[in-house]
Amino acid sequence: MQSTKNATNKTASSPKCKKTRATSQQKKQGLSPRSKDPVLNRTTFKTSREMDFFSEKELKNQTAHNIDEWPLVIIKELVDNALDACEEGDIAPAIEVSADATGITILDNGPGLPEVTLQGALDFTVRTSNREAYVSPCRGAQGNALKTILPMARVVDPENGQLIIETLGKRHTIRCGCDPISQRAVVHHDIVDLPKCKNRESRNGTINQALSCGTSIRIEWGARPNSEWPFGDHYPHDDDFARQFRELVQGFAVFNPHLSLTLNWFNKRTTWEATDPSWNKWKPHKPTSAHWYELAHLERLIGAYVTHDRDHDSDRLVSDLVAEFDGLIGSQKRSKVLEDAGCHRVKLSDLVVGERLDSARISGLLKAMQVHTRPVKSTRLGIIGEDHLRARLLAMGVVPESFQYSRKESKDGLPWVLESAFGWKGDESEDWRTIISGANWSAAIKNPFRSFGATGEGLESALTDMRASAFEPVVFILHLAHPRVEYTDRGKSSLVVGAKKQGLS
Amino acid sequence: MAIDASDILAVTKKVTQKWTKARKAEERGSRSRYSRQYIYSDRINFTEIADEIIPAGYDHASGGGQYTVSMRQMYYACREAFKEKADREIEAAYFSQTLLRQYLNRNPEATATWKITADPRGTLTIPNTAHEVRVPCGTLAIEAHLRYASTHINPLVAPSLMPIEWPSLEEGTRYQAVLYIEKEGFEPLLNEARIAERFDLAILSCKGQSVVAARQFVDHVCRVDGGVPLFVVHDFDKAGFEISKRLTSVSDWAEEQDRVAYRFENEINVTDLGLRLADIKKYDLASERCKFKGRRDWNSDKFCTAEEEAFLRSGKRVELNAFTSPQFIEWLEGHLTKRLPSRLIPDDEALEAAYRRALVVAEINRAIEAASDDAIEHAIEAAIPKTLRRKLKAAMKESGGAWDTALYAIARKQGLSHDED
Repeated sequence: MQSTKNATNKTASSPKCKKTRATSQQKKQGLSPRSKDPVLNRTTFKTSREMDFFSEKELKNQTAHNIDEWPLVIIKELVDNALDACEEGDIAPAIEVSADATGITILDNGPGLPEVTLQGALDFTVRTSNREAYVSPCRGAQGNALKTILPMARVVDPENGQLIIETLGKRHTIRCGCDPISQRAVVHHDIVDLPKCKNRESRNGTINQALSCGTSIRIEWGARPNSEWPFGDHYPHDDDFARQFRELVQGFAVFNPHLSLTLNWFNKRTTWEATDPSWNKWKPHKPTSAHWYELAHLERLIGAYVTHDRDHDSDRLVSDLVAEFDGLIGSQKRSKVLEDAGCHRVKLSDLVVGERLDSARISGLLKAMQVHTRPVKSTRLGIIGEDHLRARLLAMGVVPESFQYSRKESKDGLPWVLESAFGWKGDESEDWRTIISGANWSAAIKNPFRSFGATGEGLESALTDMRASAFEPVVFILHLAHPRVEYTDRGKSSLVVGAKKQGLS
Repeated sequence: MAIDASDILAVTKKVTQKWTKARKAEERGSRSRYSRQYIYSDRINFTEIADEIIPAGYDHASGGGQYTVSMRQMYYACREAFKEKADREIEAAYFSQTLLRQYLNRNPEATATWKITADPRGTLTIPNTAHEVRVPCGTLAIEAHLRYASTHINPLVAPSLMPIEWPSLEEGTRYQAVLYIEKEGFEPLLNEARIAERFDLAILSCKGQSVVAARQFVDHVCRVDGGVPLFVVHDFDKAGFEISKRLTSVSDWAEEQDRVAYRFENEINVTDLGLRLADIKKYDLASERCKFKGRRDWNSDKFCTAEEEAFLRSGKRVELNAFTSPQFIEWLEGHLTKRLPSRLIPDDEALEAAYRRALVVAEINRAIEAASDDAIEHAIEAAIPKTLRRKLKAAMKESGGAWDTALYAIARKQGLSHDED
């Protein structure tokens, strides 16, 4: 699932997953296992954090969603992780989401969840993230999804709740809890070897070659009367909730042309086949662009590296940092940057003066990196495309003649791409308006464009003004690709969009 | 360039523009070739349909012109007929603001006597009157005000007598029950049917969920010990039941979230007279679509029966506005007659005090009547001071009051000097 520098090493050493094996030569050159494109080997940084995960209240704070919405949080976060992992492994993702009376399972065909990543997630004394310090068009920015989901099962069902992860030939059964006396995390982690990875059967009993490797994560609870779930008042067979669940899963199929996705909802299967398995986008392991950073962002990254190096008794050169940026892998350009910034043979720790970062020097470095690289064109972020959206909307029952598609890109400055599609389901349809919206190829639990502009007008009211009110049988899609997506809340339920100064600038 | 709300609106508009155009064409009733091809298979002219259905709709909703009807009631009265002819639903706002408005404008003579009201929004306040004059900014109230304001005033008509009503506003002496309605638009209809007067009812209304002031009021006047009964009238929907409940009690959610807006001091003598499924069947009321967003245990307080809950969970609701005016009055009177069989007579203590006051008022009024003839005669004979306007300006400057209060001071002074002469 989460692929990190450590993850790549671990995967490569596994005899069972040759697909993702990278040669040491490739790694030295910073290349991905499958292509010669430059690769960003993200580093997982640690900062102190403890006991934020072991009660409904704390998890509500962490996820910014009420317990009723946790099933949706589980889906969103785990599918995000699965997609990222597949993309980092250059694998066309195939994901299966299953829901039954006693659990939710997400199965993917990625390179597998490295043991070290799992151990990091189980260490509740620190916060780990390989996303937060970088500026890039990522599905998640906090990188703590697994850590949030691990204790969820136990919180909703203290007796029987557990997380079962099957990956890289092992089954991990994890029961997380909290010692009521010491107020410390108590983790029971049982590991058993699985039969050979190849030809492994998926949970529903059908053999799926595409899913013969990868990771299965199941959050499980004890059986309850009437197949009830332990998430507040949501009843899985309630039509409204089932629709919400399906729409979230469907959202991922809408935003990811390379994804083959199956929803198994109480043995009722729906599959969205990939429309373009080789679809290209800005992948999580691609180097980030210096043009996406402002001084504060670069300071944050440098600060994180310095802390990380101190923890590991190392001290990297500024040159190593510069080499991680898009367009600066070549030594010639790197030299020019270091020369302009006066950072030849300078170590990152030299950019710390006393207890503070040397802002003037870092500013000079950022400016030099931006001068010697080209800004990234919007289209390089990834275009979902009209054909894919048409296919998805027609599959939803949209009348072909009514399908409309629009795309808007930034012309300068930070790159971004807005894509929108619309369709009408016909007079016979009894459905109401469906809005599928999201950012950076991730479906949102709530419409993140609920409020924008000086008047606080939101997408819903704008659509109503356009006669596409909540009662109309129409489908509306809105997607934003942007390297610096900002949300007003931790649950990523509302994007920061508005006046230019406040917006995603 | 930063991403801006205008960028989002631009792509949204671009993909919906054909749809919007088609829908607007449909609303206008124009025979858009595009809207036919894209959205609809048949030619439909809404204006023609409106001409056909609106007169019958008004006749039905108003009981043959007997009662006032609200815009919303007109919508319900015409909705089914519209659906039958157009083979699609019509939205309330479009019906009342476009089709109905256009129909009234096209047929001013035929609809001159129609009494269609919209909810008052705002208030007209008139200054410097004997009593505060506040006119709700609704069709009927403003029309009535304009009629009254333009009536000719006879300056020598006998002055008013002392009011004969017992001046108390206390519950139990001024009214025998409180009727709470979750909507404001029924006031003209209730006035026409004289519901408040005939049943000695105080009528309280809010738009939607009750405000703290309304809760405070019922807490004091509808308490179980010594108060008057409270009757709550609401729509048949989840919100309606909750409005009824929240008017007299605090929700568990508010307690848990520390969001209690008002804490009740008394137990309330409340009866829920809200619309029920049986009424809907009896009067064959039209429902409308409505998303039901509620917890599974929403009905654990037994707001409604299992059948009613199933109806609500199926995504339907029925508004009070679905009644025609005669139906609403019949339905309400049925409830009130059962619960308030007799008119209000206060307790002995209030009765004795009121009787004594009535004796006083009667004697004073006799004196006023006796003095009126002389006063009118004096007024007719009195010479109007040539410098009246100048004196008035000076008096107004001195008192700071309005022209008529200053004028009274001058007249009174003149009257006194006349008496001395």
